[in-house]
Amino acid sequence: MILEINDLKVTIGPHTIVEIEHLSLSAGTRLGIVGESGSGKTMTATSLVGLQPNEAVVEGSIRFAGRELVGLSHRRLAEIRGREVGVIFQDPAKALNPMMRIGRQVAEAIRLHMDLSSGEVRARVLDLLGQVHLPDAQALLRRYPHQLSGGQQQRVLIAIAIACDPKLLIADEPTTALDVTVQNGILTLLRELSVSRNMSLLFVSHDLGVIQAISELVAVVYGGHLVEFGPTAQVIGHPRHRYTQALVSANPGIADDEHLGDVVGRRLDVIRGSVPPLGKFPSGCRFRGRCTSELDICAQPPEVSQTGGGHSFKCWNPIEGVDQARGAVDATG
Amino acid sequence: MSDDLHPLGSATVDPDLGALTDIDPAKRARPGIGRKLRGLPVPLIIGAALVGSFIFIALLSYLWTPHDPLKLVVPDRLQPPGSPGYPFGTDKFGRDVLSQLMVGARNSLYVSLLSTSVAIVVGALLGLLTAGAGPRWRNVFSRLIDVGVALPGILIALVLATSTGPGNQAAIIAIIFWFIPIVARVTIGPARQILALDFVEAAYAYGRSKWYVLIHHVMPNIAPLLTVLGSVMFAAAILIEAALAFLGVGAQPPTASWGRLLQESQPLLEAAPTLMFFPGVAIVLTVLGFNLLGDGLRTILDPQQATRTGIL
Repeated sequence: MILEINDLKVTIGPHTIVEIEHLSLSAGTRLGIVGESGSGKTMTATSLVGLQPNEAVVEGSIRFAGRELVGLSHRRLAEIRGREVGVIFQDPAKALNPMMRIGRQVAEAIRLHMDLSSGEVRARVLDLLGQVHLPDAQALLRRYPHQLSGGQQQRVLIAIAIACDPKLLIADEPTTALDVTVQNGILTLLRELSVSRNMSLLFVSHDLGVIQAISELVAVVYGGHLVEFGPTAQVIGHPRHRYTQALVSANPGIADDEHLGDVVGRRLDVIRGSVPPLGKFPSGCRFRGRCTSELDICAQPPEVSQTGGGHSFKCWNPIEGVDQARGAVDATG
Repeated sequence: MSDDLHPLGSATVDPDLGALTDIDPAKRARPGIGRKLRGLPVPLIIGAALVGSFIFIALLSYLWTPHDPLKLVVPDRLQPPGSPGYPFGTDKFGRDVLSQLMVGARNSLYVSLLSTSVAIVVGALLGLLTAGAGPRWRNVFSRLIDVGVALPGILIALVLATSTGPGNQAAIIAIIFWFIPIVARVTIGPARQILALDFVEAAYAYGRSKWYVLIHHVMPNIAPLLTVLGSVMFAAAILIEAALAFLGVGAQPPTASWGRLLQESQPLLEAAPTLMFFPGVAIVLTVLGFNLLGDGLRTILDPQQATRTGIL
């Protein structure tokens, strides 16, 4: 396991923002974290490497490549981040220094963490720009960020993030600020880099379609709780938790060609209400109040249920699973 | 015309990947010097010309002036402008006005340059530190700077002059203390804006220290602002220097200063109005020059606009 989280708890003042019992990621796998705005997905991702806001307190255990990260000093964390974890931000335009040439910005990360001569740094920068498929890297070195398109800027940021060969890349909504056509290119690139470098990818997005396109595993987060986890196809294809189901049916894009007829002309489902503000989440299941299949027991904290294939969820009144249905048939037959 | 376009404006290929192919600078025709000048904003050209002549005259005064600016030639006193040998006339002691103006330019340049550069450097550092400090210290520093901005500068100058004695030194110190809080105040806002951007967070994330971030990431981003501010402050410093000399707390006789020339001409306003005219015009043109220069610099120092006009 490259990353293993146990009893992670992130609090700001009296409010618990994130509470995750267990989540693990093996080397080279791509995990998507999905949820609405305000559901705590970004907080989960950032707190893993100590990038949470200053006032947030992280407790529990985060083991990265065999080391415990919780409780490490800022300096040690920064070292690990720079060298072994790459981070990509949402808005590429804000993540590049407008007054610094591209070449220098890419070189910055390399110089800080690797002991290379300036010639070697330059060669490495050119190589990295090639790896993210930016043409004419030589000329690019002398450009300023505003002379690049959004997609190109995001590619530069990916080059910076992978500069020191990280084992884990955290991408916080890296395609949200981009055009849809460009989005696809970035997703392909991230998948390709993850495979060729055996690099784990933690991909945060609110867009199920994007998650489906990139990740093998998906973690659905609501109110800071991990409500459902499992292989992407299984979780999105056969959601068990009511929240996941609501997310899936609120997404117009998820349908293969066979079921296109079901999608076109269909009235989109919405999740009623909105994510409650901090500290206003109900006790027990946090989806209570917005859920359409609520039971009395939902006021109790839900237990984790495991099904086959690494699929798990936390719901008192789950949607009947395919396996279960089949199992029932088997038992009667 | 394609030179004037934003480099990506002419891209026709895949917007994500192919756009770099047609922006190789080597392939673009290099504009001649005349073309380059034409691309510049007009205020910048006029401002630079005025400032350039001011500096040239100030430096020239070290080497050559038409007459000795301090030499009293009593028979030639109060000559009108255009008299033989005295294009701008003479004052009540028969000193050549043109020569005095040239030496006065030198004094203006000296006082303004020294005070403005010290104020910009110290003020910018103070502003950066305040912006980068934690919330508590930031508030303390900010309020102190506000107090500094609110203090009437001319009063400080007068107090300083009476305690240290009048002279250029008093003027320089007064202007420095006058300007530092203003520079700091102007720096804090933009610096905090930059500090809130993702690339700053990324730099921290990679293990850069706060100091490194302030100097290498924030400073370059506010440098254009400081350059413009410096130019405008230079103009203000020239005015203040003249004002202090006029009030008698700046340059002392026999040092020639534009403010002192004005002051000496005051009692003779009716007898020789031109004595007031020339130093006045000199001050106006120089201050105007620095202000126009600052205006022009603001236009071109924005990196996005700079590439559009082909300056970088």
